[in-house]
Amino acid sequence: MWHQIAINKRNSCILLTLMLLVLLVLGAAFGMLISYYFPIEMARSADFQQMMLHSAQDGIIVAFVVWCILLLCALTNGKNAILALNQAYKLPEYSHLVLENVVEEMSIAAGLPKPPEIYVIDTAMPNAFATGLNPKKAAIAVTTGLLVELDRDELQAVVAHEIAHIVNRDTMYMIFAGVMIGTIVFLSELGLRFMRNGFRSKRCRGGGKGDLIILVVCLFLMILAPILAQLLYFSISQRREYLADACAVQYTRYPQGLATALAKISGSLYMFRDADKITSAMYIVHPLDYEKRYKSTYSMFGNAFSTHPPTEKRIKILEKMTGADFNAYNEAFVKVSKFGKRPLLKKEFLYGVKPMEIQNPKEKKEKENPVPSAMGIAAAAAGVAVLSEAEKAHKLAKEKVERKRSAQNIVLKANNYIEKECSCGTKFKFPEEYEGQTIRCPHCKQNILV
Amino acid sequence: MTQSQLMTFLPIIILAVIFIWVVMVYNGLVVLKNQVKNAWSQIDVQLKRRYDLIPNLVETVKGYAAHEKSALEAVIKARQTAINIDNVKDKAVAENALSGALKSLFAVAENYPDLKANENFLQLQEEITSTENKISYARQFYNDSVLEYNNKKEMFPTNMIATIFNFEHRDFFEASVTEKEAPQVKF
Repeated sequence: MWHQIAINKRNSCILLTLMLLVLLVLGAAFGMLISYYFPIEMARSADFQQMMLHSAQDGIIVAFVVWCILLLCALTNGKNAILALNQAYKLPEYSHLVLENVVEEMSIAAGLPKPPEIYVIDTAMPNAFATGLNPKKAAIAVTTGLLVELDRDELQAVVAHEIAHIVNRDTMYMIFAGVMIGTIVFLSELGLRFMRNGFRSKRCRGGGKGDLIILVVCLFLMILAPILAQLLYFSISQRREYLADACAVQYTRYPQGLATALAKISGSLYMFRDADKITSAMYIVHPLDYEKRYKSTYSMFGNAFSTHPPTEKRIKILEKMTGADFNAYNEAFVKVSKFGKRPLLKKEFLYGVKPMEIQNPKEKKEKENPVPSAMGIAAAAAGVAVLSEAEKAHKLAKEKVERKRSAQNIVLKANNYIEKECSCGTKFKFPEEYEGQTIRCPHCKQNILV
Repeated sequence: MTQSQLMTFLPIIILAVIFIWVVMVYNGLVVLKNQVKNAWSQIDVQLKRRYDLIPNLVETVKGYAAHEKSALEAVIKARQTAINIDNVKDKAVAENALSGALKSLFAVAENYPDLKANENFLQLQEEITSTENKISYARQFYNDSVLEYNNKKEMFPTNMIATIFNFEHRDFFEASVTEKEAPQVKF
């Protein structure tokens, strides 16, 4: 496991260095462009090439400073900003026991030093993401839709996937890369704006052919840099999604759970409009594009610009797995891949991986703690009675209503609703700001003092 | 650099490289060893939590089903044995026995509607079930860590460093099939 984290860290470093290079080149172009349009009087008289060189240096410094400022913001407040951007609020304590337990169980399975903080987003679309600079300060956000749609095993698989992102330091990489892309986009926007203004005000000085070439190259860089940065970013994020899937299976030992969860999430017809473009890369399934979410394009460019691999393929891989370890995931990955039989993980990843069995959580419990036979009969008669199809459907629907209610509870608790019980046994909740003296019980119609 | 200078520096360079390699391997082993240690303490935390929950559970059940003595006593006894064991292998067996005893207690509780409706009991049941899940995951992580550690320790050339600095072999936390059936010894 340490091995894998180390390799991930190294890859992140290489990528971030490349992005920094792009940023610095962009900075130089930016500096030259500015001095081209707004030449200082003194510099005007000086040698043109000399001036350009100086302004390129200045531009690099400006780019570096902007980057440092943004980085500082991200380091001090990055997590909260991302959470606020997605309108996530902290899960009130004791408001959803299952979620709290699942997160704690999975962080134990992954060996995190402490369970991440849990945040909730109010939207019917099932989805989840993780963020945080290091495992100690990480956070997981889930939507209420996720809590309603998925059963416990599926929820566990999704949480395991998010915790894998934290363990693999993808969340850290995401923040650094986000800052880098932000700076690049900012500078290139600024440069292009200057350029437009420059043309309008016609302050451009007449230069030779050399000047024009510089101008064109600068313009080219301005437009190209953001695209290049994003391509660099995407080159790694798809791979990381697969890896997180593989880790999630390793934690839960149950690939079917994640497969059905992914199917439910991507099959959901709800949209999450509030998820913005920058953060959408962090979700377990892309929250915005319904088309992209499920249908795989398999075209050259269709996939190169997507942060997530096609969900269809992810599900197929999970269903083809014959074990719960990395080797099994790798084999399934090669089997499902249409183009190129390049395995997901290199050999260095798979060094000394032991084969793990798939365990259905329901069967696993039976196997680990077998009920003594005398007591077993009663338990078997009570719990494992054979259900007909209709009864099964009824039971599922009932469970969903129950889950909806407990998800609703979070929202009410977060808004400080007060709980009151009527003498007839009905529990109801009302907002804190309620000004009346009494409330009428919806069941027995008697008035209750508040 | 002349030939003679090279001859004097070469051994120093080689020694320095070897030293750095030893330090890196040693540190790698220490990281893994600490991971195993942490994983074990995580299991310990969860086991302790379960020990703490059991007396409450027993008291609650007693209030409704006092005459189910055998199930209650089995739980108390299994808890007592498990607490007193220190080594990894025997502990795994004892903890399995405790899980079995708890399971049969919950099975017995199914026959008492009043008990099943008791809020305190329901909360305890949820807590114990969740703790049991956590134990199972902590065990899973511990065993994975032990495997990684033992693998690394036994592989060449790391095994040389491991022997020199006396890194111990760690046991898995799981009861093998034969051990699970050990209590029913026949003579």
